[in-house]
Amino acid sequence: MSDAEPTQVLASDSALSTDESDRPRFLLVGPIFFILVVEGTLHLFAGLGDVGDIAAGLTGPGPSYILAALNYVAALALATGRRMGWIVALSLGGWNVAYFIFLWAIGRPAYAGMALAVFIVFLLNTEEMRRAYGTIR
Amino acid sequence: MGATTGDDLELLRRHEPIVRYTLGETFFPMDVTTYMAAASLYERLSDGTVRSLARPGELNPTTLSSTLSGVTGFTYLNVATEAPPAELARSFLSGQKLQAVGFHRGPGRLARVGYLSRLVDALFALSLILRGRVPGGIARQSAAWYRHLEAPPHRYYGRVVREGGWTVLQYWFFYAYNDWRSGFHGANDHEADWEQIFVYLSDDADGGASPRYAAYAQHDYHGEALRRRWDDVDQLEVIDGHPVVHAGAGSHASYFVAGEYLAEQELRLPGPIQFVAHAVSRLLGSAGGSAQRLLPIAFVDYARGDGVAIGPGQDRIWDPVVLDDSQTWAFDFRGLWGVSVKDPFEGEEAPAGPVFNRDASIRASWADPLGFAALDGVPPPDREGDVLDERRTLLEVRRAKLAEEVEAVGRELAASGAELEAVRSSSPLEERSDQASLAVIELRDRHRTLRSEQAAIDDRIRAVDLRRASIAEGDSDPTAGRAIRIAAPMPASTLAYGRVLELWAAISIGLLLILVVATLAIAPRLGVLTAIVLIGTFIFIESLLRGTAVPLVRVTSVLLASIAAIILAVTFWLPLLIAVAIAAGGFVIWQNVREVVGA
Repeated sequence: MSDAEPTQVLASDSALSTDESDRPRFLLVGPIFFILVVEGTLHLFAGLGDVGDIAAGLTGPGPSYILAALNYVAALALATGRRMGWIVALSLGGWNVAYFIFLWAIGRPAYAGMALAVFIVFLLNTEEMRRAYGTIR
Repeated sequence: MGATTGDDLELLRRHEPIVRYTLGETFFPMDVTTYMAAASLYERLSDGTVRSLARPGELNPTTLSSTLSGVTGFTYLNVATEAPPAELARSFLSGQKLQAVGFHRGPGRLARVGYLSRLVDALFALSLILRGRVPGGIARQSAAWYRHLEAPPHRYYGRVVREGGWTVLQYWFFYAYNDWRSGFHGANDHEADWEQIFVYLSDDADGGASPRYAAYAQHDYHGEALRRRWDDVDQLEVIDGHPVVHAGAGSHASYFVAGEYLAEQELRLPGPIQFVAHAVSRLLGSAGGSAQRLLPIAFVDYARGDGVAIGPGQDRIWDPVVLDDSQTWAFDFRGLWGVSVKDPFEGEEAPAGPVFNRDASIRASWADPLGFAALDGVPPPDREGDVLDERRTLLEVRRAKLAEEVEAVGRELAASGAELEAVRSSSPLEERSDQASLAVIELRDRHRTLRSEQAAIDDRIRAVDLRRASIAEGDSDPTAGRAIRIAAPMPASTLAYGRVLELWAAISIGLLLILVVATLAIAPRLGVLTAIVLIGTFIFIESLLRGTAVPLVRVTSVLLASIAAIILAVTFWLPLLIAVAIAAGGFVIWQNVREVVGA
């Protein structure tokens, strides 16, 4: 891995939350927040057994509850400008993309979900978002 | 080579270097006669057979020349031979080490690079078996032979070259062996080693000569990057007129500043793959990030300067010899100074002497010592003003000529323009008008070109005047302040690898290979998936140890998202195309309407 910048960020405790002036536009954070909350709710219902979920299908409801919790935590942390929110949201985005690629590979594509996951990852990877959440200087 | 004067030796001695070695260094500069006396001389014929030309004890500078007379094949010297297995075993059992006591390895080079590079490194190590390497026993025998010499003098071979207003002092050092790989975890071993450093002097106003630059031969650097200003106290230590050299342990490469240097070699990929790999690297790279080598194989060159020091005021001193025409061995022997192992990459091949390359052509640093440090384009300070004045005169002549040309073409252009207008207003024939128009266009282009050249000459004259003013104010170096990439020791922060990461770096690639192969053998159906999970897990563990988990997550996510985006684009290309067309149309309408409404 060659990208050394975020290492500096990890070593810094001063950037736990973003300054007011560095806040990203609502146009960027709003959709991500909304999608994360919706996804979290879907995972929650999947755990309760109301909606099918590949994670629940493979290993029981536990992973669904964990994913739901992570979605809510990421949404909340993003909304309050915390770097941890960006990291968790991107991790979830990456996980979701991998999951949808897997579904596509086994012949059960879910293109809408895939498009949303791609949208989130690219949005979180924009320079404005990375700068706002202290993962680029 | 010009005639040697007694002054040459005095001049060489006045600025002879102080060479500081790393603790644990085995081999130091020695005289070639002692080496020759212990060496055999071989000739490899075109059919691959090797014949002995001289046995140990038969060679000296005179007999070497006579032995070589009439020899046309590829020749090489060889002192150390592979020890018999019993002797090797005895030396192992008695704990005899290759390195002298005192050397301690720095933070592992493997911890400084990623998995792919480690894999390449493993392949590089394996390749040594195939591509020819100096057997480890030879290093051991060389060390034993060298240690048993009775206090050999530390010799350098000095040469003075006067050229282009510069006086170049060349110092050549001969070592019996380069044990960088076997002794210090480096890239290569080879019998015999020639190293060189240069000091560049120019005349003073009082008739004397003062050093202006020093240049040291280093791995991976060329030209301007090899030299330092004599008064650059950050980059060059000078003690009583003697430059300080920090020699790499085993490699004997010369460094200006003490430290540990990362010598990187990049795996050469085929062109198209290299292009794609760089494109991906740029996509994933951070904003404003610098380009990095894709697959570096890292080697550390330890130039700590904490061991033996040779030179004026040190425990050991030099015993110099002027390398002039009387040293016939330098000019007569075009072969290798150590055993030839036929390494196609030449890393393990012994070097030729100071005058020649391995292919018997003349060494560039011998033929062109100014070009070695890119000083062939830099006039000595005492001549720079005159050189600039000459150049300014030439530029002014050119400017005057241009001015005349500009005026003449300008007159012609005005006349042609007037003629064109006259033709247009009086003649109904379109063809004549077109011809006149073409003539005007050509003249206008010519006039524009001349004016541009005139402006460029003015700029150059201004630059010359500025430089002239700087010289008048005492600025003697035109190259000062120019940013170039130079060798620098690794900063302390990069040496702070934890023991866990070092251990992980040492075992991970082997462990991963074993686990992947075992998984594929035990459960072939799940093998591929499990292998991907294993590789992912190993990469993640390493990123945690390095503190780079966040960038890893980002890069992985973006890569996956890119793949998914391609899947979506391929699947929905038609609706996507329609959507893009509609969006583009809407945008154009919106822009035009805004302009109309705004107007």
